[in-house]
Amino acid sequence: MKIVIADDSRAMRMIVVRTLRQAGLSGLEVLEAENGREALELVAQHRPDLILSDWNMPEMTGIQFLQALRSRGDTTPFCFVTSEGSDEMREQATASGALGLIAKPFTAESFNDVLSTVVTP
Amino acid sequence: MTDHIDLEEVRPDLETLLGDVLRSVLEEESEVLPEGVDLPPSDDEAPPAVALLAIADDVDGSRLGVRVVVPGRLAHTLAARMFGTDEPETADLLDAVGELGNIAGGNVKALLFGTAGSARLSLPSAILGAVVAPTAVPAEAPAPMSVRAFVLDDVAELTLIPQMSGEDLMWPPVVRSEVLEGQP
Repeated sequence: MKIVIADDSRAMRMIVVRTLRQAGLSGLEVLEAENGREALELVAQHRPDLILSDWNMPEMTGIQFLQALRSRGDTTPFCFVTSEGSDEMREQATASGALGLIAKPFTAESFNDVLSTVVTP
Repeated sequence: MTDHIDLEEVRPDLETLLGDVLRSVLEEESEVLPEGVDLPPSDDEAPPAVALLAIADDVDGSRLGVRVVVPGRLAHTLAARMFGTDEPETADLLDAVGELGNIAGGNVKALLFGTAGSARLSLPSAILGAVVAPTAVPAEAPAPMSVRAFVLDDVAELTLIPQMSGEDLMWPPVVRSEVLEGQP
């Protein structure tokens, strides 16, 4: 499975990968981006099966990234992994076409809960 | 915002929050270090790692500073575990403590502002070295409030700083739907 992970923290990108493996996912091909703009380019080049993105990032935020994707007709499954998760953010995420929002700190179970519809361990 | 929130009232919640955040990134349990309790001087000679963020209240324009201080030795352990390496580099330490601050800041925002969307969180800034007071805190501002956690023989500290300027911090770009139309 090919996954794009967008987060301005390299440490968090590594933790997300580790948690995906703890959630039982194997055979991952991970592509990393530091912000939404980089991630947008990666998606265009590599056509991933899933996108996991932080919300607050420099250059282009996660929600801007998602809206830009959807505006060009890209329907790749997209989930936020972010340090905050207000009702407004969750509503905006869903309305913009995200599967959901996983708030940090998170567990492998919280990944499974949100991603179970698109990934199978 | 900082005028009507009694930070002392949320002290127990902040102590729990700090413990939860440390557990999530270090996979270690911590103990609350009560106010007024001082530990013997540490033999840790490495400089502390400091993360600083701010939460901007869109209602009244005020900003609440969120600062996390991690002793050098603990910052090394934190980065080593987050990156899965025995010898993390300086950039790794800064990234690790910055993300620790980011998670703490997001959870402080949820704690103090609820789940409504009336506040924005800055991006984290991280440094290694002496803990300096943020600039441009008005003299009449309420005093900063700190909670501490004892973990792996070191003390991590989370401080809230009312009415901090935050102008020298980085902020994510504001979402404006009209600029998205022309994205590639």
